[in-house]
Amino acid sequence: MASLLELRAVSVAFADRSGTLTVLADSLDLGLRTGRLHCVAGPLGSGKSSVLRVAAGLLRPTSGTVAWNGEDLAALGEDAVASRRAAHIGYVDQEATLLGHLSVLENVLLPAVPRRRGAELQGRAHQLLAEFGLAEVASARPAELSPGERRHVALARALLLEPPLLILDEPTTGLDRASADAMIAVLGAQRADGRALLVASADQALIDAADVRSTLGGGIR
Amino acid sequence: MRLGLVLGEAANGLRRNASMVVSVVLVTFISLTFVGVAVLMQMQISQMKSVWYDKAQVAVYLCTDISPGESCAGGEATQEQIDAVEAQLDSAVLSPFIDKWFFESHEEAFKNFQKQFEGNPVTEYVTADQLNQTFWVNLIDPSNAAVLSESLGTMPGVETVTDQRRYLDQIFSVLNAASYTAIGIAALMLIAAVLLIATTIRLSAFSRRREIGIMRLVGASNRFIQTPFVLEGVFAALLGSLLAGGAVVGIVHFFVQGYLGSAMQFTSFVDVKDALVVVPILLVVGAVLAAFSANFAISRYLKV
Repeated sequence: MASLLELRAVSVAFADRSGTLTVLADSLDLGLRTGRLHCVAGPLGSGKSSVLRVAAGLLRPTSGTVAWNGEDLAALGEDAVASRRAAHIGYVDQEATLLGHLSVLENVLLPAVPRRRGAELQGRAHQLLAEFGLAEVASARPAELSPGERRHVALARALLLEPPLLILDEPTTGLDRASADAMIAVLGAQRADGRALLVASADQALIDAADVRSTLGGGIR
Repeated sequence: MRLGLVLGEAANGLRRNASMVVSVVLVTFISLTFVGVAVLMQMQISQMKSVWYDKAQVAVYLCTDISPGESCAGGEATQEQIDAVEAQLDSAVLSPFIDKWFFESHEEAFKNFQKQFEGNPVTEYVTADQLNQTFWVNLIDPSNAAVLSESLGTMPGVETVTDQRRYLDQIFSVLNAASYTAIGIAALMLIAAVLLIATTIRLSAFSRRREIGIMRLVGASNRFIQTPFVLEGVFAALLGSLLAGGAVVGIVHFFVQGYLGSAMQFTSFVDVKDALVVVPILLVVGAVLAAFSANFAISRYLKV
């Protein structure tokens, strides 16, 4: 069976205005199967987010290939990648961005909107919120939530369409220890459910919880 | 929820870029007002043409004692000369072109003159003898006036043959020039409006790049992401178009009908009904331009 996610010899580099090339990841190989938690570790600015964005098909790698279920993303158009991503990957960005003018429930239902499945998935959204102890704030606005709650809402949104693969960028950053540990427990439960998880983190507790680790170096040369 | 979300996004964008949106509204408002005025001027011209060209007559002025020029060297036209002109008008050569004609004597000309210039001191100096006796001729096809001036212009006792349409053409060319000026200004302003809409939308997209990122993340297609931005541009332009429509109706109601209509009662002017025909044209032009410009701007933004 092909890996859910396969990065082969992926490099990410940015050229700034003076032409200086900043290499964030160099020849990275990464494969991910169900039931595994893979942590990309490394200091701030080492390119963890970029690697995650490349894995999620949000950023094209400078070189190397990215494949989901054996399908090379380079061969797909932007809209095709977007629709496959929705089915394949739940992504939680670093800020756990939510749309401020929508309620918590509506934010969780966002992935259903482009496919017109809002009514059908209403029950699942409520169930996910209940699972994370957020049932009471379903109709609140994101601004009324704590950072930990916002991150759980973003995770619920990522889980709405039941993707086999979760990608989370710094899921415990900005949380107090108790909330961070709660988040790590939730991620562990997802792994136990048979999901594959790719996380970027500098949090030692999360790094320790991972099955596989890749460490990005200083990255700058 | 889908429609609500899309509209909510558009409303959000409008709120965030209030000052840019106001400028888009104003620029579309002014440019489309010029478009509306230009269209109404063309309507006015064609309305005047159809009314006045039909009424336009050819005047065959006969000599008076004070007429200058060689053809009037003999002074006041004699009765024989008048009869000769009349015979010519009724002849087989000219009568096929003529719808009807009538003769205006010195006394009738004087009466009309007194009426037309009532209250003007000039009425006290002019006597009946100084005013031309005139054959007023209505042609079947007013564009054949040259036939009359050719056959009558050189007859003895005829001072001059004048086609009234020539005066009308002067008025129409002034009106035409004014409406072309309005169209020119409108075109420049519309270019400004299109560029401004594109800039506004790009700015709006930039201020919502996180939201755009989220929608991408959850698998929304480009078209789905673009729609709120396009709606935002169209909404602003429609507001401007509505204002322009109101302005055009107001101009016609208060200035054209209220002022011109009572100051110049000899002709009819475009009315509010004509203005109401122009309003939907303005709305469509505004909406279509905005949709194109916003769509272009946002798809280029998303591509980069």
